Amino acid sequence: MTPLQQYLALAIALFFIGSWGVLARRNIILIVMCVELMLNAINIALVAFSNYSPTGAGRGEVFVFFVFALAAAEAAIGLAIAIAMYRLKERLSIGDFDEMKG
Amino acid sequence: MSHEVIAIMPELMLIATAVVILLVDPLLPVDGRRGLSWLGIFACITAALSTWFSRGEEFTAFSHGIALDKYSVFFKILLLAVAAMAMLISEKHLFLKKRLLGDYYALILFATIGMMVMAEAIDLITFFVGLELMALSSYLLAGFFRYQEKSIEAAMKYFLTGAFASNFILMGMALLYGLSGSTNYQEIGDAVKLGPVPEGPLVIAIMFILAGFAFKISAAPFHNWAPDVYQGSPTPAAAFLSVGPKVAAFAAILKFFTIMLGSQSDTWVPLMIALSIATMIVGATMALVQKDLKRMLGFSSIGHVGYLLLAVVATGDSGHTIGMAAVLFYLAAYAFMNMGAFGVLVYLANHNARFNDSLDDLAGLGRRRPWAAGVMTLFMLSLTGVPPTAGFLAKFYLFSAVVEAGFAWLALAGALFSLVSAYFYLRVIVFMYMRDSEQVEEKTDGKSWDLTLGLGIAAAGVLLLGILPAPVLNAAQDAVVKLLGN
Repeated sequence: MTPLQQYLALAIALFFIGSWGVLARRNIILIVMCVELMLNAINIALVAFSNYSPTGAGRGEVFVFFVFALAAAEAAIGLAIAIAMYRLKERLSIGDFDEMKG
Repeated sequence: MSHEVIAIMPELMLIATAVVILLVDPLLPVDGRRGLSWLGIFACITAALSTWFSRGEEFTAFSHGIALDKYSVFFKILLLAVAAMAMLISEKHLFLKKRLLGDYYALILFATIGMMVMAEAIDLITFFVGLELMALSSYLLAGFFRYQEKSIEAAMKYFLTGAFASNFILMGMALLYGLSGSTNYQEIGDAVKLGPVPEGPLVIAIMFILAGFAFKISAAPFHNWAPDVYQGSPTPAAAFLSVGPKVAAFAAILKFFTIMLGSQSDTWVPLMIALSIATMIVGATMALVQKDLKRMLGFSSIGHVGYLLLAVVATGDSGHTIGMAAVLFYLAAYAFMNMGAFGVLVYLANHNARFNDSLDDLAGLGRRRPWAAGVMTLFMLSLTGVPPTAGFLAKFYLFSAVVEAGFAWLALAGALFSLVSAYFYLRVIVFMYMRDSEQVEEKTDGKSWDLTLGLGIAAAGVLLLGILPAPVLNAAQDAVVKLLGN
């Protein structure tokens, strides 16, 4: 059986690739994709923990269902904001929406 | 009725009302929609009454998903009051901006349900659902004036930072689940305290959770989004967003860091102290240079988060109930005074089309609009912490709790920063009464009894908490005793 550590290493790696993407990307659709990547990393961690946990087996999988639901809702709202941005300025880069500062 | 139904009765009422509002809204002409806010307010009042009548109960429901106890009753009533005030101050503003849609009230109700679930949850999964319900509704509220560039910018910034922060909290919770094998707060607390839990991953989990929460409550250095979001959002929505999510997040933080991680205070107390000091510095200094009032209030709310974090530190070591009670009382005072301050800005924007939230627009207000200037003075004095207002007693209890927990130097730093903050609060009063302005108002018909009532409730709350604090203070103390007892 694959040891837990390997799953966790994958999850942590994906999580930080996702957060690097959120910080480095300028296009809102790519950022939403990176947020989803982070959520998938969390899902991997939850399922792995659930599979290896002696006492809490199953709860991780249940948790993952809720994360799925959230990911769908969050993508919907992220894309709604992207559409609103595009209608205003025909731009999707977050750099074009930087009026407020200071 | 079964226990389960009693426990979530207020939430069920709000859900039903929100769905009715969404269904009825498209059928109504614009003028008819003005009644929708009262439907929402009525739901908040009935939900608060139903919560009030269940205050004697102590039980858990949904297989230990939520706990109905005095702690959740306190927060639910406070959050419902915030939601009701937000709807009172919103109606006229939305009408004048031609965005009077039922969706707005439905979103406020959904966000309130999420906050209430956050406060009463005793299970990570339940908490997570509440957190996201609150967060997703808030992003939409920030972008509600979607034809204004500023509003969309606010929604975008709020969404990106909020989603990022949620992922950090979620990763921390996944690690906690992996370490303890449970998602129940109490079971995690026991496992962390007694069981053999590897030290390194636990510290990482705590840091993930703390960073995520710091984003959510806009603690420095994770605060950058907050002033932008409050400045860009519709003003009544900013009032709601600057109070509701913070109250709910502190309700959850207190539960997380006492029930679950109370035994790990050696790890998180130093981090929390650092966050708190950084937050107080940013809140006090950045607000000094702001010309935009909403932005200034944004930085001021960051400062208040710094003081609140001090009291969370005070709960740390041995679970001092007095520190927790101070947080609860401070949140109640903060809710009324911040809501009121934003409410006055809504009032001014409704009456004067040229008002664009800048400090200069307040010049000569004392003569032009004595009532508005009077209540604004009250809220500014309360935010400063001048007796006999709620802000004074809240700060007094908070700093004495911090001293009692053995962090006298932190309380001193807090008092120092609140002295600095007096400068920008009192400057508002100086502008209103001692500056003359040549500006001619462009009068609009902004008369609204709803808004007046909302401001009246906020002002009455500030004065009542300042003069007769006993009922709320006792409720706050009762609320936390049981929480730490088990």
